[in-house]
Amino acid sequence: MNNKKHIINRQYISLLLAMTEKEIKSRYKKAFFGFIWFFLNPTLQVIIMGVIFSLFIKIPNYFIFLFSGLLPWNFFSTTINRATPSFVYERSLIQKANFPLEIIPLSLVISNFVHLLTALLIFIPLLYLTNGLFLQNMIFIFPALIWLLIFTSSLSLIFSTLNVTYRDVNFFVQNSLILLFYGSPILYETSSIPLNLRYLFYLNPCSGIFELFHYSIVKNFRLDSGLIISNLLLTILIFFISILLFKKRSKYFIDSL
Amino acid sequence: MKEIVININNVTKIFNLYHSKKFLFKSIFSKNKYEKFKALNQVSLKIEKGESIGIVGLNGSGKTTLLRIIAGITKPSSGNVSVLGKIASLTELEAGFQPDLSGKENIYLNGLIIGMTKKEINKQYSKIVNFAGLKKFIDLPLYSFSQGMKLRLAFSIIVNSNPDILLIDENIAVGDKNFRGKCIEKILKLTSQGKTLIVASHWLHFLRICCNRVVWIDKGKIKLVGESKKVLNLYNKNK
Repeated sequence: MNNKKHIINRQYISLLLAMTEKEIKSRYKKAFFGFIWFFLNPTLQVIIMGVIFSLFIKIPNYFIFLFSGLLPWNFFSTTINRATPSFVYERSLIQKANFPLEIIPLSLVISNFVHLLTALLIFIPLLYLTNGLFLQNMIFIFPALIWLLIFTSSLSLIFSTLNVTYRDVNFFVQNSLILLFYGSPILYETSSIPLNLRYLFYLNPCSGIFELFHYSIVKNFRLDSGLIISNLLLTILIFFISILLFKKRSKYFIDSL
Repeated sequence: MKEIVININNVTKIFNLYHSKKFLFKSIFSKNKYEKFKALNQVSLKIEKGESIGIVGLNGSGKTTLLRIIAGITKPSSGNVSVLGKIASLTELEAGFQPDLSGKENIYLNGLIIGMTKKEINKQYSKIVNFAGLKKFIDLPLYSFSQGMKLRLAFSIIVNSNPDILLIDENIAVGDKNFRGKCIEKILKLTSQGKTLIVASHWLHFLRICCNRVVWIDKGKIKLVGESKKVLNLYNKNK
């Protein structure tokens, strides 16, 4: 019995890895410049947003600040956008064989996460050369990454599950992401928001994640511990909701596809 | 008595057919109207190891639903199904193929999806390639394959995955005449090796030569089960 379980787990992991590998490979086999685009895109984004928003927002080393927010945001929004319709897109695959379906959105999450890690590995040394990087809190980038990964996976699972039954979820997600971008401390910090409005960020788990990213590489960044705690609790709640929802619905996916 | 590998016990499958597409915001304010449709109605069937079962019935009679329930792709609304052994189904042959990856990479990806382990794929790899007759092309990206080549590769992966139970829905044979013969030969060989076979098809001639028992499904209910010749003759007259 024990032995059998072991085999199942290994099978699970190799399938997840193969699906992730497929995602990464097909992305770069399609376009030779795929990889270059992946770096050009955030660089241009940071330059344009940095020039415009530094007119209103006074944060020292604003470009570094933007990098530490935009890279994780790009991961988050790309992943959610692609994962939400993933079950519907893979309809025929789901009809083909009986395999753990959560692998479909999870492989998208992981492949994008690999892109994020690569980007960080290249940008952090580059930014270090510009002398604006603050290294003392760098260790906090690891909990921030893990938190981001768990939160993104949970939301991907929830939205992709709901999208099987309700096809308008995809539009809802696309539009909410635009709102969420401005509603999360990516371009600004929560400490610059008036106190009575600041509590709204307690309800948005993205805030804690992005503040933690800022904190890990921006000097003199103040972290609100109340925000982190309430956001963490919310993330845990969303995580369990995603698992329960998926378990309940996934058995009957094929009937609605 | 032989070992029973598939035990379908009083299975009913009900689909909710919605009059219009379901939308999240609409569902919050109003209930979507739907009709219940019984795709399968209290179906019970025991299948022994090594049997070849044919399933006949008009379109919409529940053949595909029954196969899907056996494969575990969907769950019955009531009743239960127990299956002993590894199942592979010859449906949605090309699903999961990635045009940008090579034939070889696709064999591994597809093999893992249908439940083979990496080790098994390594072992079966040359058999899969040879059976599909694609040795020369296997390192090329899949988008350069013709439709027939892709179907052959998909078929070859499934029949060489060492299933204990093989499910076939409609597309018994793929590719050109030559390969079609090879497919049927392979299927017959699997049955002679003691594998269990379940075929849903309108191709009665094939069912007559390869199945020992035929199940006739009509409007979600089993109308008749018995020796293939007898059931097929009756089906032919009364369908």
